[in-house]
Amino acid sequence: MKEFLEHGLNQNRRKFLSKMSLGIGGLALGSLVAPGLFEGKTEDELFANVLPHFAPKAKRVIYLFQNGAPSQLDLFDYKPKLQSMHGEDLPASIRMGQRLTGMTANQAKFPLAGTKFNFSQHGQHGAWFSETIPHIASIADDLCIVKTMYTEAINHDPALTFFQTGAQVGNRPSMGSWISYGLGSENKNLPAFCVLLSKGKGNGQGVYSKLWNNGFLDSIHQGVQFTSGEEPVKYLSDPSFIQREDKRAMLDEIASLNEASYKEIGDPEIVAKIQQYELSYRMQMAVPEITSLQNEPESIVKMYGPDCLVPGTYAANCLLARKLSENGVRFVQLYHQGWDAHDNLPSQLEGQCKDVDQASAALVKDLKQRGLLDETLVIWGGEFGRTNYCQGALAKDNYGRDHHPRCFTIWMAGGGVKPGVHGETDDFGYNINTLPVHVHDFHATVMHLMGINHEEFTFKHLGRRYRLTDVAGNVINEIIS
Amino acid sequence: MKSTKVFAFIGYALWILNPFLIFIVVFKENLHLNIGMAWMGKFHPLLLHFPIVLSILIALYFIFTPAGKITKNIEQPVLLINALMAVLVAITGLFLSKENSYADDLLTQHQWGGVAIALCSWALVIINHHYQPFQENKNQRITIGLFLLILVIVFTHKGAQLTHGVDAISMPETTNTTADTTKLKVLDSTASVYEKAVEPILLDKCVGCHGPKKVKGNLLLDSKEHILKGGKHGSVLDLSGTSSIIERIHLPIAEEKHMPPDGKPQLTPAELKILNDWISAGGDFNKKMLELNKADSLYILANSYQAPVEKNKNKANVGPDISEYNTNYCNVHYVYPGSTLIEVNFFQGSFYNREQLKKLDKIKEQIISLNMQSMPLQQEDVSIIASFKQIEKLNLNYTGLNIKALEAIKSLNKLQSLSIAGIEANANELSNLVKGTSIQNLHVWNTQIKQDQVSIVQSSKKNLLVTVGDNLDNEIIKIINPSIEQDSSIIPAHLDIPIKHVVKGTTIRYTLDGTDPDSLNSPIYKKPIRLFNNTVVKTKAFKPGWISSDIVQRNFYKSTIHPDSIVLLQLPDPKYRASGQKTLFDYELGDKNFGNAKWLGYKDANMEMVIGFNKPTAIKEIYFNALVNLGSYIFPIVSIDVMGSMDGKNYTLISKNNYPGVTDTTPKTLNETRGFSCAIGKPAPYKFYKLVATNLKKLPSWHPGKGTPAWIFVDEIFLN
Repeated sequence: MKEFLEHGLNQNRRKFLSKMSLGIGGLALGSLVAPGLFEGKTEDELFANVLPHFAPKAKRVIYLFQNGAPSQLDLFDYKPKLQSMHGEDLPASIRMGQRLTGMTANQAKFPLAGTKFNFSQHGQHGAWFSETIPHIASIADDLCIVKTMYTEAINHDPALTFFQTGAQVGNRPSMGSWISYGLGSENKNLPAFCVLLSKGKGNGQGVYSKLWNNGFLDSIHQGVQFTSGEEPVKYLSDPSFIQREDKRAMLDEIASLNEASYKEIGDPEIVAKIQQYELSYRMQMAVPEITSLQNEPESIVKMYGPDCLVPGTYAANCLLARKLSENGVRFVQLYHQGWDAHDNLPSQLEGQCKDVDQASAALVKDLKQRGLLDETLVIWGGEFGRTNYCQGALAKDNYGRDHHPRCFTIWMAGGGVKPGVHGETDDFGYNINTLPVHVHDFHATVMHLMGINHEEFTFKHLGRRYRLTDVAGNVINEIIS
Repeated sequence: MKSTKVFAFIGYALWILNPFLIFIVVFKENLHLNIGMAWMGKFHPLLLHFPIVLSILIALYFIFTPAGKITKNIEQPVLLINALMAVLVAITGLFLSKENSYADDLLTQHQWGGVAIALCSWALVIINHHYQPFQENKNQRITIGLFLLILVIVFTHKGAQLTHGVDAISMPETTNTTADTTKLKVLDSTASVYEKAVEPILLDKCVGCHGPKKVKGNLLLDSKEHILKGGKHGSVLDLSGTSSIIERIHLPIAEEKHMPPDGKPQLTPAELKILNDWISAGGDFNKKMLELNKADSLYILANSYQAPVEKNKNKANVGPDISEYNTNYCNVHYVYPGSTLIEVNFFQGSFYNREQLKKLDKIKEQIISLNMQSMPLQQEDVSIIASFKQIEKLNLNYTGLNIKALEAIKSLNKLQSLSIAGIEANANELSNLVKGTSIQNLHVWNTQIKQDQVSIVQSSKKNLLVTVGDNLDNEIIKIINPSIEQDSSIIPAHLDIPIKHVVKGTTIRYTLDGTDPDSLNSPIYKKPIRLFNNTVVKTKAFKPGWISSDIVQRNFYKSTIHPDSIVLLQLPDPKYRASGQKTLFDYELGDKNFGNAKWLGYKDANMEMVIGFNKPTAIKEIYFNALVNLGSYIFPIVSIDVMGSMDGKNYTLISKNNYPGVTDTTPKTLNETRGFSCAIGKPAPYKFYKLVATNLKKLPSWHPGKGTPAWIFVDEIFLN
C-alpha cells in the first residue's frame, strides 16, 4: 500500500528528502544546471536530451528472432569432425561435466550427431553455410557472423527473456523499450518499438508479451504488436460512425481531464496515457498508408517469396518490418517460432529454413538496394544453440538436438557492423575457442552502434539505477566497422 | 537580564565549537559523514553571508570609529554573534567540502582561511572582553580591523571561486554564437585528431595543473606551442626514449609519478588509449580524422570520443534549439546532442508540404542528411534541396521524380550517397548526372538501369559504387496456394466452403470428385461451395505469368449422429488428454502436431470408451480420425472392436476390424492423419456402444523404441 501511494505520487520518502536537503539554494542551482527542471520535466526526460551519446552508426534495428533456438551445427558452424565421429560418445574432456537440461541429463550416452546437410563456403570471408539456407549464403559478404555467442540460461523462457531484457527474470524493459526510452521515435506517427509474430511448422516455444514489455519504463515504451492482416494494429480503427473531427474533440476533452488529474496526483502513467491516445490517433492515419502493399512492385513479392502476401507469415513480417523501419520505427522485433527440434531435426530444420531463408536474405538485400542498410542493423539469431550430441535415438539420417547455451551462431548485417566471421568454436562445436561474446556484450555492442554508451544509459527504479547490461557487458569492437 | 544570559551562553558555546572546529580540521581525512552532518553541510551557502557582512562591518567600525566611543555592552554582543556565525560557517563548510570532493588547492586555501576567520573572530571576543587597553588604543583597533578585512575578503573570495568558477567576478565575456557553431562544425567533419579528441582530454584532465592557472613541473598542456615546448624535464612527446606523458599515464596509480595524480579525476581507458595512440603515432597536430584508416583503433576511439563539456552540461552546450522545425511529418535532429550537424527525415507522403522544406533554409548549412523517401516531389522541391550545400546523404527513393528534374543536385558538392530507387532514370542520363560530382555511393534499384549497364554509369565517375539490387521481373515463380477458409471438417447437415486467395487477379479452380483440378475444365470458384456428403475438395490457383500453385486438399466428413454421453473407460496419458472425451466429438480436427491439445494419446492401455444415447440408435459406420507419426512412436491403430448393448452391462460384439500395420516399405518418417473406419454389417438400435481401439504392443526391431508399446492418437470419431 505504501509503495502504491508513493508510486502514485511519483515521490517517495527518499526522493523527497534528497530534494529537500538541497534547500532553496540547491533548487536554484539545480535549475541552472538543468534548465527545464521547473517546467515540469523529470530528471529522466532531461537525461534523454543527451542521447545519443555520440554519432550513431545504426539508426534503426530489425531483430529477426529465431525463437526456439536454430541449430548452429546444421546452419553455420560446420564441424566435419562430428560427421566423422557420428554415433561415438561425446568425450567427457569436451563436456567437462557441464550442466545439461533435464531432457538429456539422464541419457546413458551422448552420441555425437554430424550434420546431415552439405556445407559450402561463400563470400570473401569463406563463411560456411548449409544447403538449407542458400539465400542467406548469397548475401555472405554483407553478414557479420558471430559464431561464439554464449548465454547463461539453458531453457527457452529464461534464455529468451535474457536476450530480450538483459535479465533471466521477467519484468525488466525489453531492448526495444530501452531504445524507445533513450532515443524516442523518429516518426511521431508510429511507435518507436514494434513487434511482429510468426510461426513455423517446427516444434514451437511460446512467446509472451513480457518479452516486449516496458518493465519499469513508462508504458509508452512498450512494444506495439503489428499483424500483417487487414487490420495491422488491433483495436486501432474507429467504428464507422465516428467522425475524425469528433474523435479529435473527444481526445482533447479527455486530455484536459487527464492533465487536471496529473496535476493533482502526479502519476507519470497519466502522461503516458495522454501520449498513447495521441499516438494512436496519428497512427490511425499513418498505419494504413505505411502498411499498404500497393506501391510494392511485383519483383518485391518475388524477392521475399509469395508467402509475403499471406498475413502472419515470416515473409510477410519481414516485408512489413522493412516498411516500418524505413518509416522511422527505431526497433522492429520479429519472433519466428518453431526451431526447437529435439527430434526429427533434419525435417523440421528444412521446413523452418524454407520459411525463413528467402525472406531474411530478401530483407537485407531490399534495405541495401534502397540505400538503407548502412543505417539499419539487422540481427538474426535464437536464444541459444543446440547440442552436438543427439537427443533420443540416433539414426543415420535422423537426430534431435537438445539446448546448448555454451556456443551458438547469430548474424548481423548493416548498421555499422563489419562483415566477416567472428570467433571460433572447438572441433566438436561444444565450447568456444576464441573471442567469446556474451549476451551482455551483444547488448552493449548494439547500444554502441545506436550511439549509446551502455554504461551511462540507466533508469533509476526501486532505489538503484538499472541498465540493459546490468553491471556487465563490453562493446565488441572487432565487429564494428 | 535575559539577553545577558543568552550572550553568556554564546560565550560558552564558542569554547566548545572552536575546539571542535580545530578537531575536525585536523582529523578531516579520517572523518566520515553521517546524513545529519551532510545535511548540515548544505547550510554553508546559506549561513556564510552573515559573518561576512558582520565581519566587514566590525572591521570598518574598528577602523573608522574613535576608541571608546561605543560602550563595551554593545560591542561585545555583536562580536559574539559574529564569532558564533563564523565558527558555524567554518564547521558546515568543512562538512560540505567533505561531501563534494572538490580536489583543489583553492579549497585548501579557502578552508584554512575560514578556520582562521573563525578563530580570529573568537580571539577578538576574548581580547575585547579581557584586555582593557585594546578598547582605548586606536592604532591597535585599526590594525586589527584592517587585518580582519583583508582576511575576510581574500579567503571568502576563494569560496566564491569554488562555487562560481575562477573568473567569478571578472567581466562577462561576450560570446559569438555563430563563431561557436563553425568551430564545432569543423570539429565534426574536417577536424584534426588533436582537435577532435586529444585537446579535449588534455583540457579536461590535465590543464587544471598544467595550464595558465597552475604550471606544475613548468609544463603547459593547453596549446600546441606549449606542448611542443615541454616541461622542466624537456619534451613530453619525444619518442626517442619514452614520451614522459605515455610513461606517466601508464604507471600504476600508487606510483608518485602517475598522472593525473591520485585523487584527481583519472583518464578513462578510452582516453588513455587515445593519448597513447596519438603520441605513439608521432603526436601529429595536423593529422586529420579523415586521413585515418576507419578501422584504425585511434579513429574509432577518437570518432566516438565526446568532449566532456558537451556531455555534462545538458543543454548548455547543445546547439540552438531546432524543435521548431519538427512536425509530425518531419523529423529534424542533431546527429547527437552537442553536434551541430543536422539530419532531416520526412515521413508520410500524403502530408508532404513544401513550406516545411522551405523552412529548413535557415539551418541549411548544417544539414548533412536528408531523407525524402516517398514524398511527392517536383522540380521546385529539388531546387530547394539543391541549396542545402552540406548534404552528404540524400534519399529520393520513390519521389515520383524524373531524373531530368534532378539536374540541380549536381551542385551539391559534398554529396556522397544518393538513393533514387523507383524513379525514372536510364544509364546514360544517370551517367551525366554523376559526372563531376563527389558521389561515391549510388542506389538505383527499380529504375531502368540494369546490372549490365552499371559500367556506363561508372564510366563518368571513377570509384563509384552502384547498387542495382535484384531484378526479378523476368523470373517466373510459383503463386501461393489458395486457402480453404473453413475451420470445421465435419458436415452436420450441410457445410459451406469458402476459398480465398490473397493475390488479386488469381483464378481459383476446384474439384469435388477427387481428381486434380486443371486450368481448363475444372470449375472456377465464384462463391462458397455447399457440401452435403463426405467430400474431398481439391483446389488450385492459376495466374498468367506465374507457375500455378500446389493443389490444396481437404477432406470433409459427414457426421450425422452425436452421442448423448461419452465415458472413457481408459483415461488417456496425462500428457495428451486434450479436453478429455469432449475432444472426440467437438467437430474440430487436430493437425499433424500431436502436442497441440487436440489429440488423445494412449500408450500403456487400449483406448476404451462407451458412448450412450437416450433413445436406441442404429449406427452404420464408426470412423476414427487418428494420427500416424512413426518418428514420434505413433503407429496405426491395430484393431477396433465395436460392441452394442441396451442396458450398458451386457454387450454383444457387432463389428471387429483389423487394420494393416507398418510394412518394410513404409517410409520411416511417415507423419499423416489417417481414418480408421468400422462398418457395422447389420445396424440395429442400441442405447450403448463400447469402442475398443488397440495399439501396437511392441514396436518393431528396426525402431529406436523397439519392444516398448506404440502410441495411438485419436482426435475425432464420426458416427453415421
